[in-house]
Amino acid sequence: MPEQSNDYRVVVFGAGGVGKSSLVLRFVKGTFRDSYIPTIEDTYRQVISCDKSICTLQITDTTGSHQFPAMQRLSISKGHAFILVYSVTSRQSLEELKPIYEQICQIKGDTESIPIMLVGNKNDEDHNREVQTTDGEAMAKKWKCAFMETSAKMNHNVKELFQELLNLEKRRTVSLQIDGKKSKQQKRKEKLKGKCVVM
Amino acid sequence: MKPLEKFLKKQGSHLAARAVPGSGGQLPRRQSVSKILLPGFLKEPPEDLTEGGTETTGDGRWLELRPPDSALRSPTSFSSEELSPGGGGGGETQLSPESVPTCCWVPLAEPENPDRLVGRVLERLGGDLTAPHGHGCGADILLDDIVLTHSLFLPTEQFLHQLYQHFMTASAIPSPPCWKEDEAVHRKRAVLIILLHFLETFKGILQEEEKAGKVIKDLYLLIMKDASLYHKLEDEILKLHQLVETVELKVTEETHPSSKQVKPLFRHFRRIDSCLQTRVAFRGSDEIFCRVYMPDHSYVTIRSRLSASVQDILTSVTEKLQYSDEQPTREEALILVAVASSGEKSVLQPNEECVFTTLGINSHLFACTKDTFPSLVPLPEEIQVSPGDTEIHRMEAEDVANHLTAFHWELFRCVHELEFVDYVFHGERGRRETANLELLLQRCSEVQHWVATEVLLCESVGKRTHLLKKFIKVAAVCKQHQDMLTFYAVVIGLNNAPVSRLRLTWEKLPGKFKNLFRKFENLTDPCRNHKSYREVLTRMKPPIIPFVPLILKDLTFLHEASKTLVDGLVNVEKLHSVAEKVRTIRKCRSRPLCLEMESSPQQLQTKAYVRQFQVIDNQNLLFELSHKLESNSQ
Repeated sequence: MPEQSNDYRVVVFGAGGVGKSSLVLRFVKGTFRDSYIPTIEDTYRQVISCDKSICTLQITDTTGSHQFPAMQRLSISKGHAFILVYSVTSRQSLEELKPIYEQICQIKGDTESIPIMLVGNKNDEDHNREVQTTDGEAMAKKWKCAFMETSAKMNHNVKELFQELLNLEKRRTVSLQIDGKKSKQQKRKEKLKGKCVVM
Repeated sequence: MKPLEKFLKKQGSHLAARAVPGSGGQLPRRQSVSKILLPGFLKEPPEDLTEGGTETTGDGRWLELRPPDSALRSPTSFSSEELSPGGGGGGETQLSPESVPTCCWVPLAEPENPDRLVGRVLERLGGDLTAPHGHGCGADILLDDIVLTHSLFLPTEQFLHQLYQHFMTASAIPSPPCWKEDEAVHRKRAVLIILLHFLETFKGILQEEEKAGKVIKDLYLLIMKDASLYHKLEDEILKLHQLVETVELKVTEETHPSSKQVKPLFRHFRRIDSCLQTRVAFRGSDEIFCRVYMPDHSYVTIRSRLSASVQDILTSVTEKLQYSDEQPTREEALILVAVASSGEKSVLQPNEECVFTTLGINSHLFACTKDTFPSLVPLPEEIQVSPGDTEIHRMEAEDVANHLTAFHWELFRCVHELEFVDYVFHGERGRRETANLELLLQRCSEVQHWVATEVLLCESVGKRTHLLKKFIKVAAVCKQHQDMLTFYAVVIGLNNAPVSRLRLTWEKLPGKFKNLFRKFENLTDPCRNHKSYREVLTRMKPPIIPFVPLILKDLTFLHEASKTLVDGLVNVEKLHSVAEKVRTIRKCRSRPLCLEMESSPQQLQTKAYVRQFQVIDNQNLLFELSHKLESNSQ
């Protein structure tokens, strides 16, 4: 019964309607849709490289509109990295991230070694902007986390967001880039190395 | 089964031939279809004899099998008082207590076809009106039989429609010349009596039946229209008002109860806060959350009606995955597959409904295309072998047993008595949801696997023996609570081969516990059609949680051993036997179960633990664990 320990788990939090699912689906499937279906909890998996071997990136898209405190606690305790999404068109959505951030601190303790990315989504809607880029940066500085503005609709900064997040991970080397053949070779090399040690 | 059916048919025509038309009043004692069939079919009589409360069948099935005063007929376990109305069994008020055990059940004067049976029952009820206590006791039972089992031969909607028609006929002015003075009132009153009993029996589940609800609404309005004309019906009409209100039928124009709370049904929603709440019954219209997995073990959580069809589920999934928008042609249609932890897959048909509660414990729903179907693999086991103490080691057997019984009582209470009928007979009619019964059965198997899982995850022999002791104690306490469901489940769990083969572990068990367990094994021994268990059950007084799978077995037996329609005529004796079985369930719940439990944090922890087991339901894996623990055992 192997617990999938080589999964790298990213959890996306944020208020309802800020575009968490849109970001995730844009990244995972490359698609975008204007219609809104409230999420309960979805998890997508993708193969990435981790410490020169292959592992699974597990992205959990959480609910912004339902209240499941127990599920939220569980996602935090199991997560390795977090994306906190607000919409630049809603100051309220940035405010709503505070309790989530505090809960991550509380459950994870030392947050500085944990990759957290504050994300201002919908930056294509400049005319509706309520949160300035500088506000987001200031909040990120306060929370000692990284910051980025994105647009799932225009596919702006989406892939970068996930790559940056993985770059923040210092305990292991995780990267979106995988070259199938290369990693296989690497695997083989490692296997050989292992055998050498045994001998 | 072929010869059996042939045999049945033969007996059936015999039955029809024997029923003398126009003999009126008492039916000449005719031979029952099932009775003739039985002796060669099953050596011992079914439970009815021992499970109590079935003395009233006297005239029915088993009379010829065993004389009424035979020693083998065990005494009724329930005195007439225990049948008393208002005891929580639901729909019992029509059954006057004093009448039930003593008087004989007299079926209708002659066999009838489905379309005319309701009319006959009405005549019978109307005719008995002259009796001092409203209607005779035999009619009471007949009434209950018909309400409980009409769906075997007539869809509920049509059944109600017939009542409507009869009321209409009685309202005709002038009334037919052959009718006596008060005949119209009597007939109307008979319709009312059936309707009242129907409402009392069905209660909340009527909300799920839109069409039936509409007929009731029409009938209700019809009754109200001329209610003022009949003072004699005042009492009944008053009661009808109350019932329609409690049933919450949408008599006024469609005022849909707005957003119902969504109920988390599945184990992946481990919400400690909600699992501690008292369980309420699930209805088909309830909204639930459900995870649907992809071949790569990604998943989406959809919100769906409990009764949703497979097609509905797939539509939600497709929508979520944005399949339809971007790649309408390339994507092949999805199919929905249930994958068990053992890897067993079963494809669900698009028109199947209400599939959520029929899944195995660790089965999951997968959406995939036909191409990816072969690549589906079960989710990895969630549970891990832990060398240290797991939660169960720190809990008292008695506390665990108390919380188990309390929880299973809740689940048992959630099952509407008609779910038992529908579960066994739904093949003959439109399917009504039996979600609560399915959940109870699922839980029963979960408890069995829980016992095996806990024992097999424990690596030290000494602690394992200790666990065996603990589970035997749990079984003992549950038995004391008359919670035979949990008792059975725990004993079956301990008897599961991967556990029972652990020779070293069992050898270390103190003699006292060995003996106790042997007694339990004897009690659950299925020999002679579960004779030992049925005898013990007979001696119990409500509240009882019976071993539900056995009730379903008995009902299935009733179903398969005799036909519902014999040459187009309704086999009322079969209806009666089924209804008798349902009444035994009613009796079990006729008194509330009260266990005294503190609400200390420790107790709450035990409660939460008991309500959300994590188990291994993959028998191969259990065997693997077992062999790892004691490889050389035989």
